[in-house]
Amino acid sequence: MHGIAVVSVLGISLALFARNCWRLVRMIRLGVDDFSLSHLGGRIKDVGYYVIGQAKLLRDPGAGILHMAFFYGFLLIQIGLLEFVLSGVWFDEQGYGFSYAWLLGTPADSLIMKAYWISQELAIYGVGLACFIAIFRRWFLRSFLPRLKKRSADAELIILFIAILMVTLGGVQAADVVMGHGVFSDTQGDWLFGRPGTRLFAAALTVDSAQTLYPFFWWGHFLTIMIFMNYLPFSKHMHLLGAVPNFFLRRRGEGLILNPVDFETSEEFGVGRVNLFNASDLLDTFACAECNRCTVVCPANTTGKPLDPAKIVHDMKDNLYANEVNLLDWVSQGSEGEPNCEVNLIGGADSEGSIHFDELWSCTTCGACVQECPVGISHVPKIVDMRRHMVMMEGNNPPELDQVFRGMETNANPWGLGANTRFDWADGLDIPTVETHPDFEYLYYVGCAGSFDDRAKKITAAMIKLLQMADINFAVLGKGESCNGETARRLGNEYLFVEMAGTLIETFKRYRVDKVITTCPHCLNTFNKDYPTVDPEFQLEVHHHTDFLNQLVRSGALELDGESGEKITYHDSCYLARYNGIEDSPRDLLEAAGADVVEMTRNRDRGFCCGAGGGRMWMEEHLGTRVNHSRTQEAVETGASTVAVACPFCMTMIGDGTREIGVDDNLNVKDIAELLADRV
Amino acid sequence: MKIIVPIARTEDYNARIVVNKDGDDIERGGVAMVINPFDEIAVEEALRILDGGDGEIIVVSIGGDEAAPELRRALAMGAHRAVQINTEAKLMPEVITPLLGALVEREQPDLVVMGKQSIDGDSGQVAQRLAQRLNWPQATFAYEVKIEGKTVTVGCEMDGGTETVAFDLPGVISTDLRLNEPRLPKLPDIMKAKKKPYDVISDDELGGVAESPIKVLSMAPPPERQAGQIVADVDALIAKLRDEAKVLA
Repeated sequence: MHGIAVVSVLGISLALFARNCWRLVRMIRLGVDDFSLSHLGGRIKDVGYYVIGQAKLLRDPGAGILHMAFFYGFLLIQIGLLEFVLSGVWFDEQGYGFSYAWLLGTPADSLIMKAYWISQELAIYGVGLACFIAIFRRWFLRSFLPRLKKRSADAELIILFIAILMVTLGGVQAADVVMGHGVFSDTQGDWLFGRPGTRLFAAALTVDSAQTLYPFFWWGHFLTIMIFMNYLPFSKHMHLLGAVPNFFLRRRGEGLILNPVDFETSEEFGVGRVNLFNASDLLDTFACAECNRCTVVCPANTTGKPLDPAKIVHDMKDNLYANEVNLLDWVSQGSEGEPNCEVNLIGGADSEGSIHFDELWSCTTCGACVQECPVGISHVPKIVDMRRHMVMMEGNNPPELDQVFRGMETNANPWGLGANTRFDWADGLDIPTVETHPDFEYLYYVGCAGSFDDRAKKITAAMIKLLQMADINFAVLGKGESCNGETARRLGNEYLFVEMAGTLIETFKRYRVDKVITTCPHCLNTFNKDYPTVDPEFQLEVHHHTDFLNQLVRSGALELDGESGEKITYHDSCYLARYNGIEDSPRDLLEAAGADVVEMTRNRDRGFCCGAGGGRMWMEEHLGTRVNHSRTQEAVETGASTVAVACPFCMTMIGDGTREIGVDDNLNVKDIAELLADRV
Repeated sequence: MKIIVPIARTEDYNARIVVNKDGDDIERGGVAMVINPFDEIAVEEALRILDGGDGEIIVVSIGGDEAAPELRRALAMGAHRAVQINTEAKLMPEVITPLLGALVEREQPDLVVMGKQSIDGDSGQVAQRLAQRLNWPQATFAYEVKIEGKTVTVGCEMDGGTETVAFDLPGVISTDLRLNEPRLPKLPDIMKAKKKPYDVISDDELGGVAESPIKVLSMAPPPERQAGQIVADVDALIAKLRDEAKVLA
């Protein structure tokens, strides 16, 4: 009778659970199918490293260790789950439920059984303790922990569920002991093999009370599992099912590579409707654990702008739910025409939508959110996908960007300055060009900033000096240089990007360019990560100047006159540190130049954006406070007299920051190349 | 409503213009070309006048195949049809006007909207000449255009003020800078523009042209601006304005 009840409840719960999961699968599959099993090894490795290894979680050590306790505890308890369920179905002659000991022998005889017992003890009481700490953290430490600022009933309920599960499971085992379950009978001498928790629990029970309580513990545990399992698909705990497939099925590139656009066959560009997202992007929304790691590192969010990366992901999911029925109908009718979505994905000043215009345009694409996400969500490509829709399909972008796009289209630079003035910086200098010096080894791609921005032209001059002193066989493109399109791409104007990239790749091919040096991390990243999506055949070896100069210093080609002893702090560019992992070269160079390098609080791949990325360089910043002020203030707090940068956009932003908060007399902003050129 | 918008292809206003070695033309290499900004405003205004309603906007450019990107761009902005008039003649108002006049007679539009001048030659004559030739009313330097029925009311920029004029269609409007902010074409429109009708006709089909009697003898860049001077006090400033600049008596 007991067994039938257990099997019936189990069957109904599993059926409900399967139905809910199938619903989610159907919703995810409304997206554009981009699932692939290429790079299988890498995918397995990702799951191992990020899920089993909990790699991202440990970036926040406190919460990370707590999560590990829950996670490994959960895994261990799964081993015991089968035993537990069977113990409600299968009984011995004395009426005791199933135990693995029936198959493996008692713990006294079997080493496996002994290890199993200890693992369960660790899991139950470890997770129990973790619940206690988690509740303490959420209720009493809330005001100290930015991530917990928003109270989450969902999270508290989940902890409560887990706590109930642990108490009842502990109770089942303790009661079993007290009642004298057969498998325990010969363990009296070696009391429970180091199970202090169970021993303590058992001590609180008498044989009578154990007999009375056992069914409550057992059914309490069993029913809580069944309820919890069916609560899962509607809660943030869904990440438990979402994380593994999300790492396994995600697009390659650590979440920072933008989605390709098919201009040949597609008629809708970018994402203006939730089913135009890739399926892997929709899967992301079900992997989100709402931990807010992304929110607290977001430069837009922390300076009071409406963007919250976690909210973007959440709003996508809400929009998917809101349009689920219509979209599924539309698909079942053959996906003809445009589906009727009840709730718009993108809204703005004069239209309602799940995600607001201002949220999407606040993003600097710095990638901090993607970097911190423990479940592998790629926020930035989603934001850019939605920008693409606004720019390419609707022409609905911040008005100041029209001039930027025009400038790039007409004059091949976002400043819009005359294309025929691009090489004016070289007036009066003897600079080898690809025309005058066709046998060059390295192309120095000066870039738009280095060619047109007065401050950045000084970086160009310093770089030329260093290259010439080190006898590097280089040339520049001169008047024939054109923008690589990075800004257009990040701003969502993919069509313009593809055109500009095509033009520049043609130029590179014409002059047989295969090695490029650039002083701009954005150019570096575009050549490295974006160009393969435009022309997969085209191979380019790209060096950021800090890496290149570091090699020259190490090889002795550049000799530095060290020992300045100046206190210098280095501002990591997002596109250098986070996107391309270049963190050491700039610091090595500063040290080689004799500087006393001091770090800002947020550094290396946790660096804080200057505010210019993602095309924000070209936009007004009228919401919240200024990102560059926040970063400049952080530099001031180091007590350094110079901020070293390695990016012309960072140069502009931090430079403006020092002037705007009035510290430009005490704090210089210099590119690494300039600091070096002063010391050779 | 049928509207003709003539567009000139000019150097981009951001380009640095350099006079060539012979001193009779500008250096053309590396200079980006665009739709004359005033004509782009005219295209935008035509689109706003039509406002998605029934009618046709025909953009026309004179020269050769090199004008195709600008005509395509106007089509992407929303114009319905492009006409490219091929001619070998040097493009001066005396050459352009009869060609446009002949095209207008052929197409019979209700309205011609065009820039007040092209930013290369800056002669600023074609709209007026065309109206005169067609014997149509004209409203020049428009900063505001309103159409009700057949009546067009145009706010015109004047030196030191504005003037409002009205005429009945057909007529010619020339556009000034603050009339509107031209749109950037959206991608689907750029794609569609590739398939819109694009006629190429020769100047002979429009009655042929005579070379302009005006010849450019020489070109010279404007004198470089002198560096400013900082004076010690107001008296020194007055002295300089009186004795050197001779702007004070």
